[in-house]
Amino acid sequence: MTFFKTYALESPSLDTLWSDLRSGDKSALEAIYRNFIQDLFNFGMSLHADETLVKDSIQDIFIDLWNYRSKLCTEANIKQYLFKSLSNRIHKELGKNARRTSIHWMVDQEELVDSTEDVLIQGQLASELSSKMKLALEKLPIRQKEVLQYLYFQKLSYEDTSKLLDINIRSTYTLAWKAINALKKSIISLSLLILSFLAL
Amino acid sequence: MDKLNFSVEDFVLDTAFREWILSPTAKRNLQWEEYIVRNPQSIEHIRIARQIVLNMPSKEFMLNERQVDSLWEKIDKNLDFKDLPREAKSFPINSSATISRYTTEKSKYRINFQVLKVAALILLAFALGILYFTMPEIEKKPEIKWLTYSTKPGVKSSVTLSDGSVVKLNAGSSIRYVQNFVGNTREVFLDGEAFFEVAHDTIKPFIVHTKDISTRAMGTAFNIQAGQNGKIIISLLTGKVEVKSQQVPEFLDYLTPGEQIQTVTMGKYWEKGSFEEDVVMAWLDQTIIFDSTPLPEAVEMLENWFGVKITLLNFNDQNLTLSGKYKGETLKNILDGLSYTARFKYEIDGKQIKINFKQ
Repeated sequence: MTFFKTYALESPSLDTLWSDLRSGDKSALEAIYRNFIQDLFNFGMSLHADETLVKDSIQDIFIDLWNYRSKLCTEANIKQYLFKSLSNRIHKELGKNARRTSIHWMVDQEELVDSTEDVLIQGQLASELSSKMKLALEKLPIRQKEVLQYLYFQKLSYEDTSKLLDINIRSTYTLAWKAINALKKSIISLSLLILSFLAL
Repeated sequence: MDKLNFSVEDFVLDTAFREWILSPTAKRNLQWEEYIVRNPQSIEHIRIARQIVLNMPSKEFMLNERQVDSLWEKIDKNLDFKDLPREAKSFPINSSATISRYTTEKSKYRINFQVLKVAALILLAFALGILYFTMPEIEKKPEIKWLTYSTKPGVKSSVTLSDGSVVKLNAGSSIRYVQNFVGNTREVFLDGEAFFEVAHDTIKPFIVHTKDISTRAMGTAFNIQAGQNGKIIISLLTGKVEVKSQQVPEFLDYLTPGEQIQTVTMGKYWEKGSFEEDVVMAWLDQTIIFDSTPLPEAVEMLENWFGVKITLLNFNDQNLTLSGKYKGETLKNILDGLSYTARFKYEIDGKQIKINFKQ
């Protein structure tokens, strides 16, 4: 590419940015930042919903990226690299503040809607369903949240996910399976109720 | 599909299953129907898996533009103060990275100073050369000059911008833009109403700002009305535009020809619908259209259109609306027409008009 360092909207490819960054171009760092900031923030918040911690972690990984730019390897999947850095950083930060990792994902099944008899419109049930799932998702251990983020929301392959999590593919699947299982448990009774309504 | 004995969890984690649930196509429907016929026992699992996929909470955490900028500033500040550490920790991602790292490190120690001097000279000559050839452009750059073009009430005007785009300004409106559109975009700030015929340029998008709303186009024709009451109406005739708010991140929508967006400034509310081209484009055709227009709004339109001041006397009926279409008419003719239906008398005194509602 012959034009100077003007990062017009979406023009330069990520590969170009990466090699520009390696050769010390600060505008490339900014371009990478702007390209991924929303993804990273969303990802970080999904792992641990603490805005200050997530923002600080993002700040740290970009400062590191700059400081160690000359040591970066030539070819990398920038997105996965950033996700992994952020995940590591968040795990580290959480580890500092004692072991806060949740143990309560086995809790809660029922406490269904009290009087199900009369006014149960399907729409209510459905919104109940999604709020139950939301709650269950928040209660998942951080590793399970992480695996869902990669596999389900970011649509990464099992291979890539297992690399990011540093475990083998089999364990990746098991981890994801457990996460979905917890979500299923949170809604199963309600969901069966809906099915029975549908069958009527 | 060899998905025998799939559990609910397996279905949810199956990409093909998710695709079928979330964006069913005829082909996918067919495939899954076949599957269900062959594995009728799986239907219960599929039903529950479907509920999970459909209700999966997609948490969207977003930073607004200001937060993105301020976080970047923090990062940027820290970059300048920290020196590059000598013995930096490295993050090898694969073996070739490790190898290449060592090879470059080694070569560092073999720097030949003679060669370095020659290289520096060549570089200097090269840099001067580039400087020389790019000089005129560099000189031009700091001269970012803003131009403002406005129309008085009662006067409409057409402006051709430096890129060939044509802007037709309705009365009492103004646009502001950078001369020659220096930069990566063509940005125009609009107050009032204007019709844009954008010259095609895929590299430099054309963006119209109206309060917090921005409309982004490649090569299109559209009308924007941003009135005093904070209401903004964008109507697209040809091409495609992206409309978004700088304040409300969720507000991002696209228009296709014949579609219109109405929104209120800083509001989370926006509405998309179709519009009647005749009505929206009427002002370009010297035509005033009232379509059940509330009287105060109609008065404002007339004031702006003819550049007059209208005073209302004894105006009590807040529900009064006006309808009518006037092409190239004088103010007197329009008022004559309206005075019958709306039951008022009027006096014209130069630029001052008094409308008197008597019972």
